[in-house]
Amino acid sequence: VTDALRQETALPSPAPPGHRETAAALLLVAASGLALVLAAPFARVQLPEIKAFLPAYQAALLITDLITAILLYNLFARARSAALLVLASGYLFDALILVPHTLTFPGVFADTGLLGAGPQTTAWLYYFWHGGFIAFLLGYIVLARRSPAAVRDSGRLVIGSVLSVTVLVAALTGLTTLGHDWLPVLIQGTDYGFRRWISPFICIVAAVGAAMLWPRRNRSLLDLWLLVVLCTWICGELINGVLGAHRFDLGWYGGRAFGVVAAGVLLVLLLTSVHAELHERLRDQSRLAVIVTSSDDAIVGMTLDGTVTSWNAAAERIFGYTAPEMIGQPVARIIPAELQGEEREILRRLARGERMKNFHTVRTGKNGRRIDISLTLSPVFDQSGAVVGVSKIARDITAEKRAETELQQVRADLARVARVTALGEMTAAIAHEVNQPLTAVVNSANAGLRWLSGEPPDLAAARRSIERAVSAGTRAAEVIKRVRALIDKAPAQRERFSINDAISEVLALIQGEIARHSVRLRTSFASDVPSVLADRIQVQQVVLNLILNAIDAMNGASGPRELSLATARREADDVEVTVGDSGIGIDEKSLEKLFEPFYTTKPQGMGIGLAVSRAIVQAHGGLLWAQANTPRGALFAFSLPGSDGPRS
Amino acid sequence: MTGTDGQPVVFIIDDDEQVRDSVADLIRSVGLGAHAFGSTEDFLAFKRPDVPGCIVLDVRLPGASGLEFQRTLVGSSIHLPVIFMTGHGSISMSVKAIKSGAKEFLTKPVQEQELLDAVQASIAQDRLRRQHDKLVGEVRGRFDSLTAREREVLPLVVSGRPNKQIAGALGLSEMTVKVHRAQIMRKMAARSLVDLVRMADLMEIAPGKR
Repeated sequence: VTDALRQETALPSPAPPGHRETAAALLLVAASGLALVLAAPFARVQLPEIKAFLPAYQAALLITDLITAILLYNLFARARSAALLVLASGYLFDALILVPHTLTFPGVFADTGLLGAGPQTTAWLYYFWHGGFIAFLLGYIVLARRSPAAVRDSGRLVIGSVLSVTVLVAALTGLTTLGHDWLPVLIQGTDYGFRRWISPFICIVAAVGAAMLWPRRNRSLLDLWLLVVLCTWICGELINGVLGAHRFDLGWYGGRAFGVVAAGVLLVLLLTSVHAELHERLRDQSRLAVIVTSSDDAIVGMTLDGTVTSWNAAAERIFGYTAPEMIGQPVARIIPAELQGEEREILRRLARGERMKNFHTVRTGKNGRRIDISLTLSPVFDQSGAVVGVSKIARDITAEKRAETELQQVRADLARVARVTALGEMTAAIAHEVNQPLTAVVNSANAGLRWLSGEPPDLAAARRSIERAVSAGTRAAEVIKRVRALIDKAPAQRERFSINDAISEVLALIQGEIARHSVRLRTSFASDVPSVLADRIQVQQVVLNLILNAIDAMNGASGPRELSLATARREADDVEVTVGDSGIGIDEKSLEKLFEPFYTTKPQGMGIGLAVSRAIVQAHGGLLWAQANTPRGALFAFSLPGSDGPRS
Repeated sequence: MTGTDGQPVVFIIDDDEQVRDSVADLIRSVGLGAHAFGSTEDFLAFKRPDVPGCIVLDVRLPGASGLEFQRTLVGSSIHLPVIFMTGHGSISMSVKAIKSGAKEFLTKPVQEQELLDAVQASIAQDRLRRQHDKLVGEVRGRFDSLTAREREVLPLVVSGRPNKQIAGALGLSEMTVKVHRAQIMRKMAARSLVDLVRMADLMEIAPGKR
């Protein structure tokens, strides 16, 4: 878990340093060593005392260390590694202790230093400063090696650390000023004296720390540069505290030069990393931003209570609201009143971590227009895996929906055309077949009459004519019989199917037709109807025919247009389908002729649909009948034997 | 103008035997001759009597349709008027038929009186046509007996030019033209110049312009 978190958040990069970084670090260490070796012989050469040097140097160091400490505290807050907290505390300590050290330095603010400093105050503070810093660094190295578990509540720990360090620095200041006289004498005039023993000790401790950092196989970039810090720091301590002997000699100045490098190395690394990461993030974000902005789909961010947090350009385009108008507002304002409940349910499901894909629903634009959209919703998780928000991608499918509706319309029109043309062709064929003998009947009968009305009547010729009329009339009847037989014996493609499904298919086909005539459709499909063994297409033709008849019948009628479709199970496993309308209805006289071929009550009707329908139903062993509907209109019903008990 | 035509005959062409027989029966019952054929080929193979008549033609026929057959008739030597019968006539079909010279366009089942009226009218038309054709034939026969020079002179005469001009145009003497003119009048049996002009009209000879 720790590693994962480090992977995610540690800065600078937790990855092992590359060859270039390692080489640069080693080069810096080597340069420091070389500078030390070169300067060593001249360490005790006394240089002029520059009064402004120390405060200027200390001020620079203070700022550098403070910035480093702040960056490290931030790093800790993200990585939650106790080691980083110790390291940050070390840098804060380094910064804060510079204040009493500078104030008490003799000859800077006062000849004997401020804060009631004694002659040894500054020297003691110097060793507390250096020793303390190394102690903190060692603390970091030890903790980082043990890689302890992530700490919680980093904020409180940071405050605690800052307070502790401040108290520590205050206590050390008190000790070295108020308790000045109890401490051993370190410095005699400008000569160092006793402290000869302290600096080497600190150097050895620091070297131990460096040695601990050195072999780490999974040494991070931070560790590598801490190694550089330690090495330069040791160089500084050596030349100042071991090789040098007096204030303002070369060793004294040189030690501070190394000090600047030691303090600067980590700051440079941290700033570089911060910059690199910022740059990377900004680039990522601008890349993402470009994608979101130029998306054709509305991309909307929301909190779990439905408050909009982001609103892209496509959302502005689709819904009409600008981003400032929507951000911070409840998303409910684009949801139609009747769908508010649906949205609450969606948010509840997302809060549980569910996703929703291609959910089709309706939204209201700023101008009140209803927009058909397809929604894809994903929960947004925070680092701990809790759902903190919703990302919503909405696609405007109004045009697609319209196209779909139009397609249905076209389909319905096509079905109608096909039906009309099929019947038209059939009627033309039948008309021709019947017309021929009919012509012969009429002609022969007329001829017969003329033969009879001659003077004298030619009886023999008249007889021949009448015989012709009879035979032609018989043929006309034959034609009709043949047409019926043709329909009866049409090769039926019998299959077992659900009548409910078959009717649903028909309804899907003529939905546009129903809508176009403002007809309200009521369906009541019984779930217990047995399946039927029949020619599916033929049965669908019958249903289609009855529905279209019903629509036509309602076209001429006033009042509400209601089409009712029902299926039911009847005795002996019969399936009964009824198609009722609220149209003009059928009078008693028509009811008898209704199923005769060529009988029609419609101005453009062929008078063939019901006859064919009845023939189809009868061929399947069923019945087709009509009756008055209540309260008005007509009701057509047909029955088909259930497939479990087909009649012969 | 002899006009010694026999009994007119109606030719019925319909692939439906009952229909064509009943039509023939009906036509015979009003005292006209009738011949029924099952196809146009049968009709063309039949040796037709030289009497006035007409054709009753079904639009829908096996092979070439009635309309096509009518078009071939127009370009042939058979000038009988055509009456169409159809089981399901469309307006465009009837317009086409009438435009190419059909006499009537009747829809089955055909009204008896309509058919008989159409037949009578067609026969009357055919009779007129036959008289006209006969006249043209006679005039053409006389014209054929003219000499080449007389055929040259005739158009100039019917254009009403004086002999002197005709002589000038043809490079003849006025006297010669006079002789030709008298011969033409005699051979063509023209009683007057107006008579001759009418004959030239019948033969569609344009008056000479030279």
